[in-house]
Amino acid sequence: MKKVSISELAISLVLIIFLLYTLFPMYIAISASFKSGFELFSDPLGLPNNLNFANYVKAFTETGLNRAYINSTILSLGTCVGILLTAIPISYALAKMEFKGKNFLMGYFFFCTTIPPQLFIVPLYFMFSKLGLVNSYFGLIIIYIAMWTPFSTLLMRSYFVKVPNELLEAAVVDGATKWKAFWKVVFPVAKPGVTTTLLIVIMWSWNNLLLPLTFINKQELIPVTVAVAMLEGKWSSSWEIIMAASILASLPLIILFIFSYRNFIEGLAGTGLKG
Amino acid sequence: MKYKNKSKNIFSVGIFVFPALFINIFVILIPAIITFILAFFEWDGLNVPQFVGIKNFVTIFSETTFFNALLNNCIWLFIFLTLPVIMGLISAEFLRQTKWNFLLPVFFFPTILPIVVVGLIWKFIYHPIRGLGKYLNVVILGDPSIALYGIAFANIWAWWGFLCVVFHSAIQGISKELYEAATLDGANKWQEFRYITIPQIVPTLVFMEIMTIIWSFLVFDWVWVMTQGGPAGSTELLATLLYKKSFYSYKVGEASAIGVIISIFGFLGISLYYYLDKKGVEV
Repeated sequence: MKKVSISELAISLVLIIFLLYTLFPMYIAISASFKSGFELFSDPLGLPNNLNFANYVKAFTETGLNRAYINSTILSLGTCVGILLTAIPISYALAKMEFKGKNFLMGYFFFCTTIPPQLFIVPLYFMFSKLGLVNSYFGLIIIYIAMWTPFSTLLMRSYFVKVPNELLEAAVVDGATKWKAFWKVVFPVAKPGVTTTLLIVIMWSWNNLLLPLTFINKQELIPVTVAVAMLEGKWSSSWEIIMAASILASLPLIILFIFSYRNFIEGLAGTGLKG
Repeated sequence: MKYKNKSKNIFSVGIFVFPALFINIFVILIPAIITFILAFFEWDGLNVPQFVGIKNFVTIFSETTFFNALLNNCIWLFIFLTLPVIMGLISAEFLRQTKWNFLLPVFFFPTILPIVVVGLIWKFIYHPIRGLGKYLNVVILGDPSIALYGIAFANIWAWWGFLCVVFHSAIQGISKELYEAATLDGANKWQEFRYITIPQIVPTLVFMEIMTIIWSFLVFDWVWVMTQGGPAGSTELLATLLYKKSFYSYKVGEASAIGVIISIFGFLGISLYYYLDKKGVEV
């Protein structure tokens, strides 16, 4: 039998502390969301007396979150389609074609991933209000696409590069056009990379606050992040409702994460950006 | 190779590149350039912009709110260059030693949550009457001397797990033989960490620190959700100041000048990256 040394014990202990630290705020939020207003006020720390979903129903129907949910879904899916249409072709070109300015373009895109939205939102706001793109899904989706194309392109390119040229050559010899070669040969091989990219794009679209805060000011068009951020004004004494709404706002991401956390970890923490 | 030769046709490359590039230029590049121009104009968003030279910069530099925000950004930068990086390093190294990899998704999970949500959860925890603040008898977000640290602490909760995963994946790339050889030589766990793990992941470490420099000057959501810059401007950051100037007090020129200053820090970060890259530090 292996002897457990003190240092091993200390290491386990530190990791357990990290684990408790990670879980504690989640516990507080979840337990608060099941308590009644009075229960939460008298005991914000303890377990709820019973599993009462009333706060969730109230948070969903009475705070405007239901409408915001639809808006966020439209924004996320629209951005996904946009990224598919714009970032896939350019990352394919950067991975498998030779052309002038290719390295410059890659450097520019890397640079773009570090450009703060604050640097362009003010003029963009005035441009978009002239064009009637303020308070429109389409306008916001266009901004999302523009902001995340550089990251998506660099990430997907790192997958497309791995597709062997021989596969492509074979397809071309068989008489396939470039588009056909792409859809039939490259896309299936690089599918995990595309999935990862889309998951991250969905997450970023769902989570963004600054842009809808700036470009959407019609109540019926706001996404969940803005809706949740505005809750405090109206429900400031009902933290049980705010917590229930916060959990509901995160639910789609939690579900995506449970089923595909490997993609998230690989896409965000891998070397995609550096390659 | 044959395939590549066939794709010399500019038109076909253009079709692949054009849509993404067009949207990028229209939404990001042109407005960003206009920001640089507007920084030298006075504009309320309605009337014709007036050229005022460097007046906007002079105005900003004469305001204590600006220096206050800049100082807060620097404090923020210092906190994020150290604390979460240390937490990420320690946890990643300990995960290597224990092989408790099941903890990885748990540590990572908070980083995918909307900032709005995490901000509100911590705001509730801190709440001096309704949250846990009442047990500790502290007012965190309402106290100008510690509010910024309160926000940073909430941000760290949703950030260190990302660094843990990044460092963990870098550590996975280190050859196992290095550690085996060290064990044979009688190295203890600290020595393994100090003389193998750290030197081997320096490129990743440097890369994350540079990104931290860039990101630290962009922080907006955390402050906006938790304090909106208050109390008494104690949590104001450059990004929140810019937002207020452009959309609340309609001083677009001054806001643009702040935007230029924010991007200078980003540019410094990028330059540092390329400088180290050239010098042969493998970033």
